[in-house]
Amino acid sequence: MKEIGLHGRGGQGIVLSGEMLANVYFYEGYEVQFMPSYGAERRGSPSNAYVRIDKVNKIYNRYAVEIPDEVVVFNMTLLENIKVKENGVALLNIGGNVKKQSTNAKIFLVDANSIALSLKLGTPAMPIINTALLGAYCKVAGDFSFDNLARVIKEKIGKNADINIEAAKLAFESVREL
Amino acid sequence: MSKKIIMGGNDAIAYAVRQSYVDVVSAYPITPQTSIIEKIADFISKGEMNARFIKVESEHSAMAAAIGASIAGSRVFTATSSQGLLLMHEVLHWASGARLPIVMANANRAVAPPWSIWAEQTDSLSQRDTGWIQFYASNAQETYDLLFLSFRLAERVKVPAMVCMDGFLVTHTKEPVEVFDNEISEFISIKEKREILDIDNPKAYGALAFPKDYMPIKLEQNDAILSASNVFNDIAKEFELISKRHYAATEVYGDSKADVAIIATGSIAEVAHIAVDNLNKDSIKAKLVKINMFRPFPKKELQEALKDVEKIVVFDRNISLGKGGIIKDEVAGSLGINNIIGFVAGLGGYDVTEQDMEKATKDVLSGKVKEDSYLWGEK
Repeated sequence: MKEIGLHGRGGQGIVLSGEMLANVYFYEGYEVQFMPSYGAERRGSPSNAYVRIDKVNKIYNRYAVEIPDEVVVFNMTLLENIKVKENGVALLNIGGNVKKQSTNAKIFLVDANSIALSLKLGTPAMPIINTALLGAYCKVAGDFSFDNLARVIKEKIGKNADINIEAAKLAFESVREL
Repeated sequence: MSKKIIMGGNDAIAYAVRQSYVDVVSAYPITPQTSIIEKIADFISKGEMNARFIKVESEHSAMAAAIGASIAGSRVFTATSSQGLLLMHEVLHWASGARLPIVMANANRAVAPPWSIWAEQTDSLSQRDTGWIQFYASNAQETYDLLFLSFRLAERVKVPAMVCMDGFLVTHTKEPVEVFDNEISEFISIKEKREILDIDNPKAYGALAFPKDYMPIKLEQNDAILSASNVFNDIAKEFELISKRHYAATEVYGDSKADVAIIATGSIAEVAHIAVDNLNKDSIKAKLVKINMFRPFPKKELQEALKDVEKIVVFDRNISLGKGGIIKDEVAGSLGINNIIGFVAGLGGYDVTEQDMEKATKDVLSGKVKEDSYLWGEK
């Protein structure tokens, strides 16, 4: 089983991202479970969502994910509080560079904010970055196809799907390892 | 053709309601139930569901409106959670006492204070004496399926039914759910004939019953709820032919020759599958006995499932303050030490005399009465 953590702030589309990711893996033939973490959710407060996937077994775990195998960090101000497994994967949304963290996790960087703004997705104060980050995660994870991601974006986003798929594509192409 | 869609327990309930030819939905929002009625309101406003949505000012009113609509002959659905369910408490009795087949979804949420929005089953388990059938779903597929089964069962035995699901852990956790296309239509379109309000033939509801009338009415109601066990099995067989999914009051998973049985309901019962697998790997012969139906209580099924085990371990996501886990107590009560017999006596003010008690005690001692009984009609 792989556990994926999506970490951002309320309004960044964390919940929708998790749901989309679960759908992508479902189309890939995995057993999937999407578990949002609910608390006093509001715009700007930390928001987390978790996806569990398993190639073979039905997923019976019905409790919060403690330390994910892989994390996608939507907002760098949250970095200090995010845990990831030893030798796991962390995908960070960041424009510049980041100093090597005290972790064995492989770190990947993508500038989802700039990609979103270049396509006029959202505003400078609140760029819509979830589809870009899913595109980057598609490259980093390597266990689902971009086509299935595009299919889910079409299903879930409707009329703005094309521009979101474009964002995902740009992020897929530009994500790099630290 | 049915197809699998990723959805949570709340979505699954709303989809099932949409497919169940429901006439009236009356509800008041409360976390973590709200997304059920939001989705239903959306279906109705888009014309995808032909039902009347009654907006109310409280859960007490939600159930009161449900009762009115049900007496008038409608198929009625409502949903609530925690404090909302507690506010309904009085009217839950009115619904069951009037033998109205209302179906309700309850998102199990801890009871305040202190405020909590997270999972706990004390809310619905503390309604166990209100005369409602109670199901506990462990995952989104079960919430979907049990909703259809509840309508058929409730209408057959004329007892309202509640589908309970752990808040967030079942209501909001999204997973693949097999959703019917038209293949469920025939099953769910069956509506039983029942007494309804008829303006040309007026009747009084909620009349006063003196002790000699009250007790037989209650015992008849009790018999109706108890009969739901067998009726459920019949309806579940019908459902299985369509869905290929088997439902029963209890289900057993793991080593059939187990020494230890784990008992759980709801989301904990899902997790227990993993625990049982791991225990079996550790050479501990364990099995899970999952309770799906809590009212009527599956006494016979549990006696059968637990007859050869040495130890029973119960996990209760609920607490009866001043006593402990509610399900543990109910299971223990069903397995019974065999030197205790209970008589239900004196309902509705019916007299309980020393002669009644002497005779009952002698009947127990002589072996004439071997199991729990009623003290009634022997004066």
